[in-house]
Amino acid sequence: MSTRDLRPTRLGWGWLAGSLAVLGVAILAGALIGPVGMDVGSVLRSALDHLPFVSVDSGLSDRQEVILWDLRMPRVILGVLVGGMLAIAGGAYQGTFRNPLADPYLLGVAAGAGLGATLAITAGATGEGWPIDPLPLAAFLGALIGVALTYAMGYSLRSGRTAVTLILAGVAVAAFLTAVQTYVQQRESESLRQVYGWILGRLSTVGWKEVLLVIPYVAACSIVILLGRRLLDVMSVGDHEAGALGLNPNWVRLAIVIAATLGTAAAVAVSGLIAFVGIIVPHTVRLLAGTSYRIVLPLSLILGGAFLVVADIFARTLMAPAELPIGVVTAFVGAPFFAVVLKTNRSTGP
Amino acid sequence: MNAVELRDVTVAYNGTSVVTSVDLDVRSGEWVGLVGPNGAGKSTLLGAIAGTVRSEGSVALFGESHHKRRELAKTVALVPQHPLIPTAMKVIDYVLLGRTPHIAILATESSEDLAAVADVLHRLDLVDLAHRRIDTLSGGEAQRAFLARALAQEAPVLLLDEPSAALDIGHQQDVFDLIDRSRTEQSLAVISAVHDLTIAARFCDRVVLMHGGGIVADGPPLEVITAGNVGRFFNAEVKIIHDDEAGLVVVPVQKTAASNIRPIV
Amino acid sequence: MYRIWLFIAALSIVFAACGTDEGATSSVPSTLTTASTATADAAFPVTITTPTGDVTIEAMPERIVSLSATATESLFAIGAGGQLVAVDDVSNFPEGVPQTDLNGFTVTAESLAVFDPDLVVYFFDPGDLASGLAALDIPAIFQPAPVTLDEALVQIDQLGTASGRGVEASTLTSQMQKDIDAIYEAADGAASATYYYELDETLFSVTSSTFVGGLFAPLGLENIADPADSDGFGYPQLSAEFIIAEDPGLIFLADTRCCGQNVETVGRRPGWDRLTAVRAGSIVELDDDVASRWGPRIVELLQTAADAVSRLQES
Repeated sequence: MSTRDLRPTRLGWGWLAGSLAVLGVAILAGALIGPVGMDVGSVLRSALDHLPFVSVDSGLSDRQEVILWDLRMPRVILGVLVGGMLAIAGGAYQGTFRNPLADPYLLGVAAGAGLGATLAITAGATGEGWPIDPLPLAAFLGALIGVALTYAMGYSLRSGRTAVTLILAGVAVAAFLTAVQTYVQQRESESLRQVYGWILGRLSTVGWKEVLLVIPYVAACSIVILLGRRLLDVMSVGDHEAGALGLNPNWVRLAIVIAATLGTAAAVAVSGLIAFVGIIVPHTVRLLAGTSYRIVLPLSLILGGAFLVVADIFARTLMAPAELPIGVVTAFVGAPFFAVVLKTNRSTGP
Repeated sequence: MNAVELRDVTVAYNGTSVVTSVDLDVRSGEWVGLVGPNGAGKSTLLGAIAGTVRSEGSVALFGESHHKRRELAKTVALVPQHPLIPTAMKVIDYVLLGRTPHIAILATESSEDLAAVADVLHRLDLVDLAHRRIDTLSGGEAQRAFLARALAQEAPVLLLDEPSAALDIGHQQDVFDLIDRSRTEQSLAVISAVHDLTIAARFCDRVVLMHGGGIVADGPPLEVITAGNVGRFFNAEVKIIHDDEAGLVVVPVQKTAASNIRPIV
Repeated sequence: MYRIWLFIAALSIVFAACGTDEGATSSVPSTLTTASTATADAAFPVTITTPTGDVTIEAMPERIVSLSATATESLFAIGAGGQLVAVDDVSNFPEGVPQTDLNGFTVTAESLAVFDPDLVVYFFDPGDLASGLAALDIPAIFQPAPVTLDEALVQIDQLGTASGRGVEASTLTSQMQKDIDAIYEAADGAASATYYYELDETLFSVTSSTFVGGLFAPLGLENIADPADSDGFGYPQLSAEFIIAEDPGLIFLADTRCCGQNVETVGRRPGWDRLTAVRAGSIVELDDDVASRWGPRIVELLQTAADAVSRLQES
């Protein structure tokens, strides 16, 4: 075999192009599917019309244009951003903790965000008279505080800063914050519906405000995680050996956790707690395309977006005109998925 | 200058001393065999030299005792006794991990790195296995892969912890021959913990006998591996045979008080 | 008081017969229709102040979508039933309403857009409904559950203004007020009684600070749940022990439909046979729908309660 054949694993162009195509189809489907019918041609023409310097008559009515560009497309794009972020963050967590069931929710992001959101909702913070909408902010801060508590607890234990310690600390912190949240919910059960609505996740949105809010976080955090993809491959031989190979595993872990958590907190702040994306998508990518993080991370980002857009399509059509909370849809796919992961874990690993 | 110079190195866990006041010098091109009964502190000492275990005293590599992590990884490579086998990783990717200290943190491997990997794969006859998953390899093949990763680090000091523990006699020989060849070709300083005294005698220039955390003998195999030392420190009865072809052979002997001492052939 | 029922029933039959076609001609005496339509049209555009801000309606709406069962009842009661094109899946009164699968808790702006409405009435915003409808330029009136009787009557008036039935609405509300005042007057002077109002079989109750509680209070009824609600949020969950200890004179069951509770099931609850109300049969089975809405039928609810109190007095 010549030296040319001795190439390490890289992300193939075929996989990259294919994944982008899947994402494109998902976005188109998300734009087309809805209670108000529109045909492909009009939608594409309308999209062209929105490009700068291009003017095309799409044939859609004003109301249809509003529905397409103020109600549907923001929702679809939000799905792409949130789904991609949750997926790549999940993959990154699995790599840095060498645990196939790790994702940012593990370290208290979900519990913290949930508590923050519950407090905001029960305090009646509806966004009226506030300079910025307090709900996403409360969720965001809650998520960060949750992770900070986990780290504080993990580091204070004598067993030190190992991956396992952090995971255990995360479980403890999450349990505590969830208990507080449930208590608050019980006392203010008027807002129960609203809280549950938030907790089960929703992508419904009007206008591009939330998309613009979330873009910088998703972009920055995804880039940081992608930059660390080679390092995550090194981390797979364990902290000890990774250290002997010249890395500082605790710093790598901290950097990845910060990026993944920040991005996840932003996603959760606008869309609630959509579960399982960070588990389903990276593992599916591993099964299909390979386990190197050079493959898993980029493809998770792209296919995570596609996955959530498709899940959202189901969420808004399965029980039309009612909408299923999107967290319910992902849970339906995700719960049996755990069984699949456990069964194949021996062959793919984190 | 010595490749490795240890002065008064002590490692203690929870107040118990596992390695006590060890002095050791190893030169480039030397192969030191670290022998001793279980619990003597061999693995710990290797960890102290590699920097994966915290120690007191001075560990100097080529005269330098304070190394940053990356420098250290470029200076000393350690093959642990039970390397962690990541599932589903290809052999070539595993060996590439050895180049980590040579690649900038956010960069990817260069053509030099790829060439180094290819070279090591050729030398250790892993080319045909390059795209196989490492967790599907046999014991002997996997051992070659672990060694390949360490060699890819291109570190002048190579530490091996029981490199042949799980291997059959044929593969044992292969691995040790490989290490010997690499040692000669690159003038590496090799320190390996070995449990098989015959092998240690055959391949190592020097044998260091450890017992209870300290060094009790240090010298050429003939001087250190004696029936007396083995009896005293291993609590085993052996007969040392000198064979023209095989060199020094250590043979266990029936522990009886009677006169019938039969070597187990 | 039954006159109101005659009025509502007549209207219901008429409008049910008409169906809900856009601009349907009704078989209601044309004088009544034309007269009110003429006045109605002249009233537009109108601006209504809702909890979420002012809403302007340009012309008399002919395609109203109601996501509130109460609003549906009220709209029919004021003669606007023919202007409704869709109501949510809970709106079931009067007979023949244009029920759809829309659910007030999970509806989206887009799913409403299908009906091409020119007015939407809702009581709960699942999130982005208000902003979605605003983006689509569909006027929307938010009418959440009220706390006082006055708020409930104001909502009916608002619906009247919004639908061009202002005259009918004020007729209805003044009649309702008169009937309610009459009921209170009749009950005035009667000795007070305690009551337990059950929302579901896990013993969630209401206090007198809620709409229903406030409605019942002038009948001389004391709510046993009041001291149990330390947080003051109005819907405490009581325990069987507490209820048995308080031994209320009257028990109102507002969970006959949802949770299948009635006199027998209550009698069978362990320990409840000790209650005076159970022994004396002073248990009132309410229709969930009537008890949970705040439209024209609150008069019926109040009457039922008043009748129960007077029966209690007699015994």
